[in-house]
Amino acid sequence: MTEEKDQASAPSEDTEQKQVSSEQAAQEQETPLADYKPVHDPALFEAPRVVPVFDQTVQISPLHLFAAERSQTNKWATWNDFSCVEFYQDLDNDYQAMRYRVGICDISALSKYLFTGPQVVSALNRLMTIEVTKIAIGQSARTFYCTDEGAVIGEGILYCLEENEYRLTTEGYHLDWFMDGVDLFQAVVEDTTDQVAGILLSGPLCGELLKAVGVENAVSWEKGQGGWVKMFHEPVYLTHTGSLGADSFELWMDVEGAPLIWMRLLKLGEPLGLAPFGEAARRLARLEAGHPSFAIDYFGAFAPDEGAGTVTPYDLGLGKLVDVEKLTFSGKAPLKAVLQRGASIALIGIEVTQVGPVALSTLHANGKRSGWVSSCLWSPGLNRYIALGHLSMDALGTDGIIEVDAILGEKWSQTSERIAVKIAQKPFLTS
Amino acid sequence: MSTVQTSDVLIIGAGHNGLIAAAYLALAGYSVRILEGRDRPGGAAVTEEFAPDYYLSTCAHLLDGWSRQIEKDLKLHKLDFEMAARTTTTTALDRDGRHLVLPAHKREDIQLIGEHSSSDAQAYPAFRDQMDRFAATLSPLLNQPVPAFGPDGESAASRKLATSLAWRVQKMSQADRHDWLRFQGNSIANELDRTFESDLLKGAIAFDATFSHAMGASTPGSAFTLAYKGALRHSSKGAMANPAGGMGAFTDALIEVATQQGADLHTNCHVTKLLVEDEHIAGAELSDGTRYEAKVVLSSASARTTYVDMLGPAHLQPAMQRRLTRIRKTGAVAKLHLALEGLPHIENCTEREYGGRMIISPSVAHVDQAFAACKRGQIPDEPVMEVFLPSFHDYRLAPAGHHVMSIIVPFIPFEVEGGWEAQEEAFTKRIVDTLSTYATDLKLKIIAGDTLTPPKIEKKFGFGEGGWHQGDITFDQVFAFRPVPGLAHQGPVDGLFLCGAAAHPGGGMTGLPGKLAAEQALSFLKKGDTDD
Repeated sequence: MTEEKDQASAPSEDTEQKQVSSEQAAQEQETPLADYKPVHDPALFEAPRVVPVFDQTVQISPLHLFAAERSQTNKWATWNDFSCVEFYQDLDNDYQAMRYRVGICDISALSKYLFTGPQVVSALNRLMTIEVTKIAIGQSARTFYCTDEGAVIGEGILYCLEENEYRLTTEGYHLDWFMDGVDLFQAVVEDTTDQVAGILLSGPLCGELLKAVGVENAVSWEKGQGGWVKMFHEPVYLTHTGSLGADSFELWMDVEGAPLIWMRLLKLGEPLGLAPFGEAARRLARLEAGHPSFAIDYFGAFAPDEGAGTVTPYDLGLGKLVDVEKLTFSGKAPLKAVLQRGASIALIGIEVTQVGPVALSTLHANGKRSGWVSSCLWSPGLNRYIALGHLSMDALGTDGIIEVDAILGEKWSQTSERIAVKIAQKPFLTS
Repeated sequence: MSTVQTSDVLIIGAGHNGLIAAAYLALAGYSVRILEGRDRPGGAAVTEEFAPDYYLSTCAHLLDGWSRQIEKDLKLHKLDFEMAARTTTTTALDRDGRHLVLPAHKREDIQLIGEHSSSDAQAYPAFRDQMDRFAATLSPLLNQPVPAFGPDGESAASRKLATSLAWRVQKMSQADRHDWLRFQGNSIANELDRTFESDLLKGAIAFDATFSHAMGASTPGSAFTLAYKGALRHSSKGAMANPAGGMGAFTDALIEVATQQGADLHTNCHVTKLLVEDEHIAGAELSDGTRYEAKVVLSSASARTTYVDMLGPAHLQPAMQRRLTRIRKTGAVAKLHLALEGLPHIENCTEREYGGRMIISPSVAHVDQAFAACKRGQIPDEPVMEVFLPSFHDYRLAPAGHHVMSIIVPFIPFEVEGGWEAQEEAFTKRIVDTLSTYATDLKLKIIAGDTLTPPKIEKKFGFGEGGWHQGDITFDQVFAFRPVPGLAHQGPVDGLFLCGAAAHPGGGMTGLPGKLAAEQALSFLKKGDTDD
């Protein structure tokens, strides 16, 4: 009703407004930046909702109920403070769908920051380690952002949605740091985590599924390319990615339309063998692709033990994501110094052929302590345990034996044994 | 649209520090161009005619802590520049005419303290000598450039500075060392309460400690500020000089030195942007689009203006920008200029007192109450102030028999309750009323006057929010923390230096920031020359 009323009374005002706005537009063209006032999200300045400590619960994604409905296990994991299904049927089934057919996963838990404004490119360029101007509209790129001492605060994917409009999807909460960073630029950052839902399609048949939905050409997109498409009459920002090693697509949409798209995709994918996959399979795929994970394989610089245990992108073997030749960005000088002298730590892939998991164990090279293992999972594809380890560069150079302290035995009788492991190429598994 | 001019060195701001840097660099044989935003050079050291035939230093009115070394280096004695008075004393005025003269070295001055309290007279020499020793400890660190904390944490140079400071403290006697460790974090009120009992003496010392800073006598750290100011004065052998012809004559002499060596001075040049190529400074651009190119740029603007506004945040680390936008410089003051028809009568005042600096600060409580009012955005009920009669030693400033009086009133809020337009007259009246209780015939002799409120001072001299020191001198804003941790004289891009009060060793009329910046710029230029 109200909409109709508005429309009825609108025309006379509209014409006036148009005149005014055309004048404004003329003025704006003359001085494009002079009149610019950043629009702040008033919600940012509202008093935070007071939640007593004993009432606190993990956050839930907009697809929570729909994911829960499909979960046959009632096993939950926490990812980026969100409650996520750990596995829907069992790890093997989830993994098979994701790896060999097509899997669907709720990735709404990622933090999503929207950067807008006329000077957003310079503002972002000062924060991110990559050259932001190289990301064309519709493209996306992986990037780190570091403290002025060069310690990684976090990593994420930066999407150029429109001119002067960027979205960063990341793990962890960095709004304060971003707001400080865009201060003095004509740019604004908003946390749109609870406004945008994310769905990940992964597997060799996801192109087929998209065709069934009516998105024909997306399969031919390059990795990283994206664009707006219509799915079930809802606008969806679709991106072609390969973060899990397999062919995959990310779908970003308004939270209100997300359940519909989720349900329809599950229905449409049935003939293709589509199955939802949970956090466990997603983590496994990420490890198989050899990607270090935030808060698992490394910690952000603002983690409680500030300063201790922080890493640079070079320590993670991702120096290619740092453009030390570009104009000033946070951490430039220290990172340049690390590049010149070389990182002291290398991220290595480890294959354990004989025994059980070796996560959080010490690495020994030639009998000397020289690193640690951060995550270790059983890879069904390789039929062995795979792990990511942080080994000092000195030890990596030698052809010595790399050993690890493995915990053997059953629950009640455990022994520690030092066993030899093999350094493996990353990614462990290529599809 | 734009013209391009080239020189070796570009100096932004023709204040005394900028001119000193210009003079040093011009003497070293480099081509120097000075750009001043106002219509006249001098910055905070200017002599102006505030009423017909009455001249006065309209901002700073005493050469406090002026470095004799700079005077010798620049050979100012060869010009017709002279001091009307070399050492001026400080007199703490008393309503009953029992004034104190500080620092009291002579027996009769100490006797004056004894008139207020005999135990103070006994305690004073020891206190004075200890303050001198503290000043001597800090002073050498103010005559040398401080290193910036490197990006990898502490650099070798900053460790050297810390070691040097620790060594100096270690070298003190045990008693001094204990006192210093307590003193540097303490408030001056606490320190004075444990030493003296006379209100006037305590009020005068507390006034000196907190003068033109956003701190009360009870603010922790105010004792350190006093020691630091003492050290600034110590490197100049303690003199507070009064140049003949006012402060403008002093900057005119500096301009003469610089221009004799070929430096160009341009006024009305408002620099809006610094030009950078490959992270090296390339010059500056004015508001009218004129470009000046140079190998080296020295800026005497504040750190925030230079780096955030002129250089631009795109050249700053976000963490650095955060630090630069949070520099405290809230110590606003107001000024009052009076043209007087004859010398005002102050009881028991002799030639020495009239010719020196007089302060009105009856007690520590007065200082604290003035600061408390300032924090609330109010004009203090009983303001404390510094009064100076420059015409007493310099007859050229006023018609024969007449005098000019310069009054600096600290603890005046930049934004006052009710707005300055409405409050200015009441403020002027309150200052004159307060002063009249000491100089009883003052009101009869006033023939003209001029009030400079903090907003007016900001507008006229360009000090952000009326703070004179481009960052208050407190323990967290000196040495390697000045202007901010990670930056010293050298800016975030190569070839850009800070040469004003924002840089080490800080505000005042010492001229040292300009000298130290010039030395660093020289070694930078020489390095560039050998590389070529």
